[in-house]
Amino acid sequence: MLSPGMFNGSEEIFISTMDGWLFREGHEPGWANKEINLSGWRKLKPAELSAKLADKNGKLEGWLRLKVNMDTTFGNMPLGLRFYCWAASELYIDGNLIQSFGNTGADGKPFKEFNPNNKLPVRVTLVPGKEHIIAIHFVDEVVLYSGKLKSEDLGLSLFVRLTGPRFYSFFSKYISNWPRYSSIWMSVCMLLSVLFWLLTFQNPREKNLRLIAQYTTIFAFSVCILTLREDTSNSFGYYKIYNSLYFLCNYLLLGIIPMIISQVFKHSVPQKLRILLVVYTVLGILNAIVGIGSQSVGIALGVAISLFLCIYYLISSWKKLRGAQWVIVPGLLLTLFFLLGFVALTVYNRSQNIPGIYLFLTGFYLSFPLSLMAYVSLRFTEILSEVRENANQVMQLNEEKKDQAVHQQKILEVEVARQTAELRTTLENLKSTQSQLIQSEKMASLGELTAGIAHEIQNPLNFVNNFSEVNKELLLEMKDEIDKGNLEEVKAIANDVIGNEEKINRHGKRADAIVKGMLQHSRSGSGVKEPTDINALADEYLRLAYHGLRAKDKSFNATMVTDFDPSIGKANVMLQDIGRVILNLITNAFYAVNDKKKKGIEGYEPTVTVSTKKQGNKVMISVKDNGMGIPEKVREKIFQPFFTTKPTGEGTGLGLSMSYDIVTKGHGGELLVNSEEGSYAEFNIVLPT
Amino acid sequence: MKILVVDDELDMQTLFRQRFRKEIREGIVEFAFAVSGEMALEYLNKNHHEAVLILSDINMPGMSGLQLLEKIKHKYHTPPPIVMMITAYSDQDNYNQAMKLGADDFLTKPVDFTLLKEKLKI
Repeated sequence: MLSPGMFNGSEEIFISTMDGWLFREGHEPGWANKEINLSGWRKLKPAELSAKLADKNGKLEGWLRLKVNMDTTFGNMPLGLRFYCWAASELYIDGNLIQSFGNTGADGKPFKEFNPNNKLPVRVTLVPGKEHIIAIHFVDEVVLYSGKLKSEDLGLSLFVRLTGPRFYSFFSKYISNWPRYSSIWMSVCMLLSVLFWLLTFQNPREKNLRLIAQYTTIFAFSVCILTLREDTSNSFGYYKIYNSLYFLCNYLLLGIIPMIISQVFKHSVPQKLRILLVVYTVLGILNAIVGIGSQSVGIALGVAISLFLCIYYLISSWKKLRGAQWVIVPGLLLTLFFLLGFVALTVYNRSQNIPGIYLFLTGFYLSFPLSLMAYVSLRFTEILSEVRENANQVMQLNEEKKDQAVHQQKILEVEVARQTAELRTTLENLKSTQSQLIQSEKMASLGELTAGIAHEIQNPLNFVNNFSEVNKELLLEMKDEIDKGNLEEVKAIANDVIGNEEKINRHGKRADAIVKGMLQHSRSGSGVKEPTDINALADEYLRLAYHGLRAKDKSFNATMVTDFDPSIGKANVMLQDIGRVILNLITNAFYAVNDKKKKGIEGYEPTVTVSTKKQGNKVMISVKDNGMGIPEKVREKIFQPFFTTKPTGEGTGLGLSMSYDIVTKGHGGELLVNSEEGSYAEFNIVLPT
Repeated sequence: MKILVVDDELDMQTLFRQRFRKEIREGIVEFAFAVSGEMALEYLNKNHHEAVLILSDINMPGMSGLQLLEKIKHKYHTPPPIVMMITAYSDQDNYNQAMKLGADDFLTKPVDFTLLKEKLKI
């Protein structure tokens, strides 16, 4: 007995699960008839059909019969029968074929399964108050990989349904609207995914973008797959593939949503949660592809976990949310709202409001992706303003740095100018110090000479005095002799007087020459070369040096050997300068022999040899001493300024360096040194004539 | 009286001869000259005991007057000749050293011949 009161919210009566069904395996066209012999038939509901009933080839063929009584309250309500099952079947009412679903092979043509998706119910005429026989010729196959009947896939309890007019109109509207809406969803999701990928590639640093792009891509893919799955011409195999992919997409999306939330909210995902997500995703993939577990339970679990995580992030980040992050919140809430609204509408609203359903579905599908788009655009606005602010700061810093640089440059310039002035002063000081040093070196050598000069002047002066006294005596004596008239004697005395006068004159000139020489020595060099008797010069300075040292150190004595080559003639030299060089070398030589003498070496005879020699067109003046010689390592330093081996205060350290300059630079000559440590040192001045 | 004058300045010989020309003429003194310490020693070796008085300069090339003094006083004991030092350097150091070596007198240049004659009691 069927009555309108048995309709559910969508005006459907599931009759597969009702009692009263009879089943018989095999096929006999007559089994469709209203009155047949029921021996061999057994009680079996369509919902109880299973692969166990199939033959060795995995094929199940049989007939189902149900006797129905239509309540009179149906009136003339248009009714339909909806077959929702992958098996091929033929529907007979009271022995008349109403509709074939797929092909059972009864007409000799090959078996063909029936795709039940989005198929409208078949209109049937069931007279109220009358009894009708519904007979179904049912042919199905066992699917190899699951070992179940194809019809079992959707659940055989949903197999046969009696539908009312509202279901029909609702379902037809639903089907006719599907392409429109699904294409809207697909287009929006694809556009968003393209947009997000472009942004991701252009902004690789924004890691949120990549995840969001992945999400929208998978989402767009899932909507495409859904549309493909819903195609009524799909074979069972394709349907299963699309279905698995669709579920796989859903599991991935449910996993990605909490990740996006956590990233956008800058939440670190705890390790445990990560593991949970991975386990969930793996299980989801197994569920979707291999078919382990119930898909509806899996999806429900996924939604629950995802929802839980999203709410957790939302609550834990609530107070920290800033700017663009807020946009995600209404996105999530709207998604939830539309989901609940959709469920409420399908479960509770009997009017089956199609625009409402599609509105909620659209809201459910697109709220989150669109909120992501809003988030991204706001995020970019934020980034732009941050960049602008940074740029301003950089500009400001640049300006400051430029100012600083200018300032520092000014300081540097001042500093450089100051140091340059300081350096110049130092240089001038150095120059004057240098000239002072040269002067003091001259004075030092003059000091060395003073005593010698004094002695040298004293000697002639003594003679001048003595001879003038003698002359006085001689002249007195001569007067006596004149008185006596002894002319012979007068003549002799007069000759003596003349001789003495010559001597006086000679000694006077000698003193004069010495004083002039001394003055010349202290004076700066005239810089003019004049022909000079080198032998006389060397002899004079040898004596001066000897007496100088002798005057300072009474115990000093040394043998002076001279070996002058008379053929050298005169050389063109700067007299004072070369004199200074010779004096310096001779003084050094005396110093050296005196030093060695102090060591008390037995049989040591301090000797200084001054010699001259002609060498082609050059003159060589040699000053040799038999002192301690010059050690090898000192030899290369002796011409350096301020190098001295004398105790502090005794030497200026400039003597040899000045001598070197005078000989080489001043005269284009050479100043050479030969020495054997412990036995002699010899300095050779080689001058071009 | 024979006097040996040791001095590297040749003019000293003329000076002595002229200053003592009367005494030489009268045969009171007789002069011998040496221009270095070495030559003086040579002379003394040849003419032993002839020179009673030796007048020596101190500053001379080669052997100095003081060295000569030392050698004379060391070598010739009996009778030791009188040695008078004559020098341009009349400093205390020189004087002390000369006296230490046994000089009999110390004169400074220029030679005051009147003083010298008094000392020689001529």
